[in-house]
This record gives sequence, C-alpha cells and structure tokens, in this order.
Amino acid sequence: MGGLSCTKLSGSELLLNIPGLGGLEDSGQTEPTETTLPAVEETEAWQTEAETVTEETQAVTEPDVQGPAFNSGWLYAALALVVLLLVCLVADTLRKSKKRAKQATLKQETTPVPAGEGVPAPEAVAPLCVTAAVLQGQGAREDQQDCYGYSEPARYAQQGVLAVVADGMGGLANGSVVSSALVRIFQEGFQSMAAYAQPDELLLEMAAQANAQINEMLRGTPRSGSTLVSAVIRDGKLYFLTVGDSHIYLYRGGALLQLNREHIYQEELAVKAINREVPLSRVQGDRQAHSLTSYFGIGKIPGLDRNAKGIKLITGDRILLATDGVFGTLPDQRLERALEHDIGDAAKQIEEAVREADRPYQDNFTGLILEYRE
Amino acid sequence: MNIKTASLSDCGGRSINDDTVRIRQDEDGVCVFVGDGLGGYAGGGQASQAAAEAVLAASRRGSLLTEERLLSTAEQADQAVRKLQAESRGNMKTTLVTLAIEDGRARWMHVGDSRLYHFRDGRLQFQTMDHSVSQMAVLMGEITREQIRFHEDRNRVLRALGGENAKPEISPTVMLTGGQDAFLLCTDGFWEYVYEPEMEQALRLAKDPEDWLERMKKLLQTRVPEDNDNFTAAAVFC
Repeated sequence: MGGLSCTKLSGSELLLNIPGLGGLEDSGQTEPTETTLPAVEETEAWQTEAETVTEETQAVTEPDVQGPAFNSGWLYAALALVVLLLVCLVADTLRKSKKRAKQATLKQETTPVPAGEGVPAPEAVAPLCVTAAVLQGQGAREDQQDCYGYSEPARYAQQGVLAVVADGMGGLANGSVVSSALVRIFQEGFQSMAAYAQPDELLLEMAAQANAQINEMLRGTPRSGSTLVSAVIRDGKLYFLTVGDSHIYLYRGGALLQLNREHIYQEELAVKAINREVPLSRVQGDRQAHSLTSYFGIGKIPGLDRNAKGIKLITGDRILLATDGVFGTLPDQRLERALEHDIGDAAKQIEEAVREADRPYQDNFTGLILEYRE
Repeated sequence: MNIKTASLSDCGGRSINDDTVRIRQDEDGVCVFVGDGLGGYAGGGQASQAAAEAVLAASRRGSLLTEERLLSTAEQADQAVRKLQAESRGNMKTTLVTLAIEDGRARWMHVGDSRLYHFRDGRLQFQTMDHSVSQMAVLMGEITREQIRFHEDRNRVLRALGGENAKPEISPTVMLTGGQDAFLLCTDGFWEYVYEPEMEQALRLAKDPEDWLERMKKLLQTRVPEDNDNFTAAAVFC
C-alpha cells in the first residue's frame, strides 16, 4: 500500500487516488487493502497509460455518514443515481485499460482504482521494515488543503520508502492545488529515481522539479503555496528535506525530537537581533513572527532544511511528519504519550485529541507516522 | 573540446547479443556507432558488427560531417552487410545510428529504430524518428510517440542495412557551442524501458556519461520482463 490523499470531509469522503500507488484507507490501518502493481512483477512489456497531459481526477465516493432520517427516499434515490454513474465511469475506465497495467507515470493523470481492482498476489511474508499510519482532519476550515502521500512500504528492500506531507495555504487561492502537485511530483519522481539515486540527491532533484513545475503552474495566478515535509528511509537511514513550517520529528526512547527548523520570520528576526538591528523582544513578540518565509509557490525558494548525511535509525524508531494543525493544538507531551502505542492507535489518539481540543479556528491537520524495524 | 564517452551493451534476457556499439575518439573528435542486428541464427550480430567496422573505417578516412560522406558511409555499411548475406546465404540485417563530432560540430544519421537523443543543458532537444510501422502510426495521429513502446507492430522496422530500403536519414549540422551537450544513442531494447523525462532526470544527477548510463540501466532493470531484448547505449558529453 502506498497512497496519496487530499481528503475532503463534507459528509462523504472523497479520495484522490494515484494509479499504481494504491489507495489509502483510514488512519490506523497498516495492512494494505489495495496495493500497487510493482513494475518488477509485470509479465507483459512495461506499460503505462500515456494519455494527454491534462489532469483528469475522478473521485471514488464512499459515503460514510448516514443521510438525515427525513426525506430518506429521495436521498437514497439520489445516492443510487450517483453510485450508478460512478459504476459506469469505472467500468468505462476498466474497459479502456483492460490490456494495460496500472503504474504511476510521469505525466499528470489520475484515474480511480476501485477497491479490490488490481490487487496482485501477496508478496513474500517477511515482516515490513517500515510501516505507516496516517491521521487527517479538516478542522474548522472550509476545505482540506493538506495533502500527504507515501510509497509502498512493501518495496522498502528495493527502493526504500518515501513519505511526504504538504500544507497548502488557506487564505491564498489554490492552496490544495499546490500541495497535491507537490505530493504527486515527489511520488512520481521517487518511482523512477529510487532505482539509481541516493536519497539526498533524490530529494533535492524532486524538490527542484516540483519547484519548476509549480512555478510554471502558478504563473499569472494569484499568490499561492504550500509547505513541504519529505522524508526517505533507505538502508536503515532517514533523510529529510523540508520547506516551510510543517514538522518532521524523530520519536525514540519515549522522547520526541523535532528534526527540522521552521522557515518563519522569527528566524530572520533572531539573526537581526544578534546583529543588534532589532531588540531581542521582537524575536518573540513580533506579530509577524510566525509568517512563512519560504514555501513552494514563492518563486525562487529562499531556504530549505535537510540533513546531508542520513540519520541512522534503530528498531522502534518512529518518524512523525505533521502540519501545524497538529502541533499548534497539541503539546509535545501529548504527542509523546500517543506515540507510546502501536502507530495505528497512536494516529487515532492524536486525531481524537485534536478534535477534542475543539479549537475555534482549528486548522487542517495531518500526521503521517512511520515506524522502523530492522 | 573536452568530450567524454561511455557505452554499455547487454544481452538482456536473450542468449545472444546482436547489438553492436563502437566508439572511436581522437584529438579531432568522436565517431559513435550503435546497431541492432536483425535476422536469426546469430547473423544479426554479425551484421551489426560488419556495419560498425565499415562506419569506423570510413571515419578514419576523413570527415563525416558532410552529407556526401555520410551517405557514402551508409552505403559502405550496407554493402558490408550484403556481402555477409551473400557469403552466408543468410538474410541478416541491422539498424544503424551514427554520430560524428568534429571541431565543435555534430552530425548524425540513422536507419531503422535505433535512436539518437540530443540533450542541451539537461533538456531534451531532439530525438530521431524511427523508421518503423509504429512511427508511421504516430505520424498518422493514431498513437503518441511515447506509446510506440506498447504498439503491437513495435518490432516492424521499415528500413535496415541489408534490407530493401537502406536509405539513411541525415541530420543537419549542429553547432556545439555554449551549453553542455549530451548525446544518447541506443537500441530499442534500451529506449523501450526508459522514458525521455527519466533520461533527463538521470542526466541531471549524472557526473559523467558512464554514471548516466548506469543510472538508466538500473532503472531499466527494475522494469524489464525476463526475456527482454538486448539493450545497448552509448553516451557522449561535450
């Protein structure tokens, strides 16, 4: 199971699926229900869908909330119609791709992979080195502009694992367009380059490609953007690359350690302060202290954070990628308590804790937890 | 002009490698040949080798940068293959793609579906059009260029040395000034499994031509079926 998801919560769940990367189910689920068709297992010539460049996104609707008790007749009729339409769409897509294997391509295209379609025979039963769990919520916002994705953990031995979380900027138009583009570009780049690139150069190259494509995409449109937290685990080492104010943490021995620094104005104020250009009080007190100074969509990216040498991981380590909707609401100790548990439970607990905190302006929140075992 | 080259050739999932790659480099420049032998019973490999020898011999005799010289070189290579056919009573043939670089100028020609790609500053500038049935389908708007890889008639080549139509398609002369140029010459067993954007990606990360080929080879090897065709590639940085 790998996945890309920008989840919209509005009575029904819409999931954007990337073909060949599988779909993502609830947080807490670590067993795959859909998996990709890894290229290695192709028996026909390696094939892909090379269609036109325009992005087609079709959503698989899974209603998970019961409609209101009254007017149920009309509601069910409407639902039945929608389901019928979707079944026709899906059948049509299946017909077209009957002879082709599904695999992520470098072109922009997403077609729905309905549950159960394209599930290959289970691979060898060796325990997974890396497992993943996700939590996400919309908070009090009108839509979900966070996006996340990760590669198939079962292919860790061949290529490592990639995890990406991106926080699109609400308040700027197209926030979710940028965050989903970021995740998709990283996913696709990883699929091809993981075969031959070192994790640190891989992350840089994907960031460069994403930067170019996103700037191209946003030309002439109102300002928009997204943060990025990206991580690759390979050969027992963790590499990360971040831009913006989302976090990546290492949880080890019961303690949470934030690995990256935020690209916010406060850091620039700190530099000014040590040069005595502004008083120290401004560093904490300035109203703009938390505004972003670097993000995708800004144009020329002024700063990124990364580790050039991998961080050696040990069994039981967890990596948490999170947007500020999580850590802006929950203190570190709360996250640590949750992470003591199995990562599926940890994800559920964190999600519940954010909801329970019930902040009036709760931001979109996303957390992606990876666990490493040797 | 500092020219670096590298090549690889692998029989893939087959028992015999019918591809040939040859590179000749001296102080004036470089001559690269890649050919994919066709026709059974090991004759294909002999055909591509014979064509390679003919092309390299021609490059030793003088500049290959004129249309005249390229045409006559192709003719000589074709003759070499026909001689082989006569001697062995076989019908072996071969594709051809040849690059000549002299004094900061480059020129190439091809016969068949082995390809040349030209990159400048990491971006794809040009790729040859195959002399194949699938390429015809592209020209008629039936499929896209990328989809040639999956076309049913993928293996039907319309021109080949030793075949009915051995006429080479010759490029204009390209000046190699300013940016960083890279060339990739390869047989279909190679380009079938590496997409053009991935060639660019690998090029951006590559330190030298050998590194570039190695990266693409690793990618190819994650994708190929068990009985994949021979694959061969030559890379030039200049």
